[in-house]
Formats: sequence, C-alpha cells, structure tokens
Amino acid sequence: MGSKLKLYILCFIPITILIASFFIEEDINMKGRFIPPLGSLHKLELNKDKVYIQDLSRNEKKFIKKIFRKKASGFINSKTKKEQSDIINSLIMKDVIKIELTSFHLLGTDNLGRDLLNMLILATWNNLSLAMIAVLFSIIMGTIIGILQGYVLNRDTAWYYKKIRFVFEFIINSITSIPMLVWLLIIVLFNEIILNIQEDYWKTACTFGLMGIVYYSSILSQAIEEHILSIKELEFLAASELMGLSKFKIIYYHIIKTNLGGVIFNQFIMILIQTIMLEITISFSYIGFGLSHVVTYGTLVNQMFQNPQTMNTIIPIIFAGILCGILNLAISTSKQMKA
Amino acid sequence: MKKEFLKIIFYNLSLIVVPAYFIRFVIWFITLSIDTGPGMLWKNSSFSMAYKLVIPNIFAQNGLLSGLSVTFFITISAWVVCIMLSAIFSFISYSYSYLRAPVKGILWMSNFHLFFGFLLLFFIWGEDINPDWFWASLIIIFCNGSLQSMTNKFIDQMDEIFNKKYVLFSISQGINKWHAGYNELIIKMIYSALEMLPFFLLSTIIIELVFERLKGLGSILLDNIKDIINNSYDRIDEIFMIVLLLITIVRITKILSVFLENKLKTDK
Repeated sequence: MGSKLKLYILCFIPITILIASFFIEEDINMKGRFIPPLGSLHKLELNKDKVYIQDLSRNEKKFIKKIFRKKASGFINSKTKKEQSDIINSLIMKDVIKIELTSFHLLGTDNLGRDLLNMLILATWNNLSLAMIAVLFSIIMGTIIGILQGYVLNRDTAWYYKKIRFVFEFIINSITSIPMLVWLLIIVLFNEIILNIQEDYWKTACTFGLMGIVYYSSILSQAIEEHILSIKELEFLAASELMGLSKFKIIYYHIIKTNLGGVIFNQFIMILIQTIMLEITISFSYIGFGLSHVVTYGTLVNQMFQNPQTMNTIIPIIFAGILCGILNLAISTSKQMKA
Repeated sequence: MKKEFLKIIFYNLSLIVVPAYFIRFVIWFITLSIDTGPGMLWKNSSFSMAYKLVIPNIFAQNGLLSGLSVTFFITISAWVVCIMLSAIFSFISYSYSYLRAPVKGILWMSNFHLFFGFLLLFFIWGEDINPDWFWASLIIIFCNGSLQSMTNKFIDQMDEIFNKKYVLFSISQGINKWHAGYNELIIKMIYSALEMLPFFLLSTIIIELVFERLKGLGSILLDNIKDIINNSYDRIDEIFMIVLLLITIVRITKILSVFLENKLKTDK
C-alpha cells in the first residue's frame, strides 16, 4: 500500500506540472535582466516636480539618472533595492519616487527577464510532448517485435519460424550494438539533408520519432522478449492454448493485459527520461542540432549558458535533473511493488 | 566444439561489421545526395560508387588512434573509480542500515544530466577547466546516474549472496560472511559493472562534445557530421572507422559479460 501511494505521488508531480503549463503564457516582462531566486521586480515612479523642489544629494541624483533615464518610471530588482535601500528610502521620504512590487519570482528570471518557473513549466510540457513521440513509436514497434520474438516465433515449431527469429534477433542486436549518440547524430544528419525539414520543432520531433522507431523500440522489444520468455513456460499459457483460445486473444488478454503492463510502464518512463536528456544534449550550443525557438529544457540551458552571470544559469538543468530523478524513483517504486 | 567456437566468432564479428556497414551505407547514401564538388571522382561511375561503398580507407581520419586512446582512457578511468565508489557506498549501506537513507539521497543526485557538472564548472572557472580529462571523468562518475544504479545492483547482490545456504552455514560455523561470499560476490559485481561499461562509453562521447579540447572519438565524430552538413564534405571513411571502433568496444564488453554470465551459470 505504501509503495502504491508513493508511486501515485511521484506520478502526480509531473502531471501537476503538465496541467499548470495550460495556465501559463510565454510572457516577457522586457526588463532583460537576471533576477535571483526568491527575488522580485519593483516599479519606481518619479515625481518630476519634486525633483527640482527637494534638495537631493549627489548619490540620489545619480540613482535617479541611472534608473529613469529621462523617463517617468523605471524598474529595479530586489537585489538593487537591497543594495540601494538607503537612497531609495530617502527618496520615498522626500516624496520624489513611489515604489510598488510588480512581480515575485520564485526561481528568478532568465537573461530575457522571463520568470524561470513559468518557463520551466512550459519547457516540461514541450519536452514531454516531444518525448511522447519517441515513446509512442517505440511502444508500438517494440511491443509488436517483442511479442513476435518472445511468443509467436518462439512457440511454434515450424523451421522457418526459427530462421525468422534469428534474423530479427540479429537485426535487434546490431541496432543496440551502435551507441545511442551515434544513432542520434546519424538521424540528425538524415533529417538535415534527406528530409530537409525547415521548422525547428518538427525537425526535432522527427529526430525523436526515428529514434523511437529504430533504437528505443529495439531496446523495448528485448525487454518484452525477455519478460515473455520468463512467463512462457507458465501453465496458464499452455492451458489457454489447450482451451482453444485464438493467438490474438492469448496475446491480448494473457500477455499484454495481465503481464506486460509493468515492463511497458517502466520502459515508457525510461524512454521519457532518455529523450529529455537527449534534447538537452542536442540543443547545447557546442552541438547545435536541437531547438532554438521553442521553450524547452535544452534551449533554456543553452540560453543561460551563453549568459552565465548568475547562479540562475544552472537552475534549468537542476530542474530537469529533479524531474528525471522523480521519474527514476517512480520506476524503482513500481519494481518494488511488483517484487 | 571447434565448429561451435568458430560459429560464435563469426556471429560476433558480423555483429560488428554489419551495423558499421549499415551506418556506412546511410552516410554513403546521404553523401550521394549532396553536391560535394567536382573533386569527388568516385561519383563518376556506378562501379566506383560501389567500390567506395564496400572498400573503406582505414587511414582516412587523422588522429584516430589518439582519439581512441582519449575516449578509452576516460571511459575506463571513470568506470574503475565508479566501481570502487559503488563498492564503498554499497558496503556502507549494507553494513549500517541507518546510513542507507543519506547514501540514497547522495546517490539520487547523480541522476542530473552530464552537462550539469560541466555548467557548474563553467560557472566557477569559465573556459579554463583544467585538466580536462580529470574533470570529464569526475563528471561522468557523479552525473551520469550509473553510480546510483551500480550501487543499487551491488546491494541487491549482497542481499542475494548473504542469504544463500552456503553463506548462512559458514556464518553458523563462525566464518565471516564477507569471507564466505567473497568469490561469488566479486564475479557478480564485475559482471554488473561490465554490463554498464557501454553506458560509460556513451557518457564519455557525450562529455567530449562539450570539452572542446578533448579530441576523443565523440568529438571527432561530431566534427565529421558537421563537415557534411555545413561544408558538404565526403566523410564516409572517417565516420565508418569511428563507428567501427565504438561498436567493437561495445561488442567486446558484451562478449566479456556473456562469458562471465556463463561462468556464473556453470558454477551454480
């Protein structure tokens, strides 16, 4: 019961982030500056008449010149407010400026002044939607090949079944022999030159789709085949065959519905994690094959990397790491539940 | 017996050559569809095109051996250190149950992306991250997630072995459980560690992409891919050789782990 509750809680966290993404818009407050975590943005309004009446110190005049630049209002972040608190308080007392809180940023802002938490929630939606493409293709292909390998071609005794099984096995072993990054780079090359897709998002979606079809489906089919082989000799399958149930019914009711749920769930989450990590990898500026105009973890990490002035730079990658850690915990909890 | 042995060698060799040639075919096909300029004489006749596809020029890539040694050195050093750290962490977790939770917490941090380590170092030192190979190895150890999974595997194996009848009997006779289960534990640990070696190789070729001064196989591969995309160069032989080397390393580790698995089965 405890593990089940833990699994629900772990799955609830990413689902909540996804739901939250529907209520967030990609707004830019146009201040173009970093605000640290737990920081805020304040609007200052200048009372121009008072500037000439009141007797202002040199520092106060300098501050007004720096913030307002001949405008009636200006913005400062919480850090500046703290540093210049004496001057600001003095100006407020003299009724020269008015200050009001404009926005509060839990995780701070990026170099464009966008709220990082909002951007990370949006990035979660975009990353998971991209990852789902790889997951869907890999689950469909992987389940079909895994069941063929583990049950259909392995159960019957016709000689050519064995040959077909050997060919499948050889192809899958060949695919998994090639490191994932090599597949990724080759698929990127194929997309760039042969498919020549111009739009960023669809190019990456296509990359992940092909990765799902070729690489992840092979990994999934191996896991499914192994699982089916472990239950193949169980009596219920032989009994179902003796009862005259059709192969389709046996595969659907006795293999997929009752036995493969756990394996597919674990692989589903594993592929989600890997595609999130891959997206960050290919979007990095030194590699440069990923997205650039859509808000994803990769683009946020890359943009922050190019402006590494504050600790905010590593927040996106920590956020992505925590999400992947939660998903990893969900896998281990689901395995514990089965055990 | 000899025939069986030859069959296994042939099977494993074909598992190296076939995927490498598949990648060669894809690159060849892509190179055919781009304008590589009039200098590419092999595109002039179908015979030379077929010759180009089948016969590789194994010396096409400069610095391939040094690239291989960089990748191999970083992979192996990270792998060995990770095994030692996992053994220590699993020993601590297994022996002192009150330390399990804090160790789990520390290990959970290793799930962060490899670039987290790089960005952290970049934030501290800028582009002067020296020596590259040392920090690259450390990032692989602490940020690719294998420290956690290796430690968990080791703990599971300790649980399994120390509950076996022969170990329980040894304990009842006053023999230390570590001494009694040592042989089986070591083989199983090496087997689990070997299974994870390809993952370390993957992490190394990823981390080489961001450490610009580390010219390993991953970095050379990326440069070649970029040369095709940006400059329409012919890089069939270069990519083929890199892929062949990477597949060979992966295959050798798989053969070793299968060998150990068989040894474990026969010992049982």
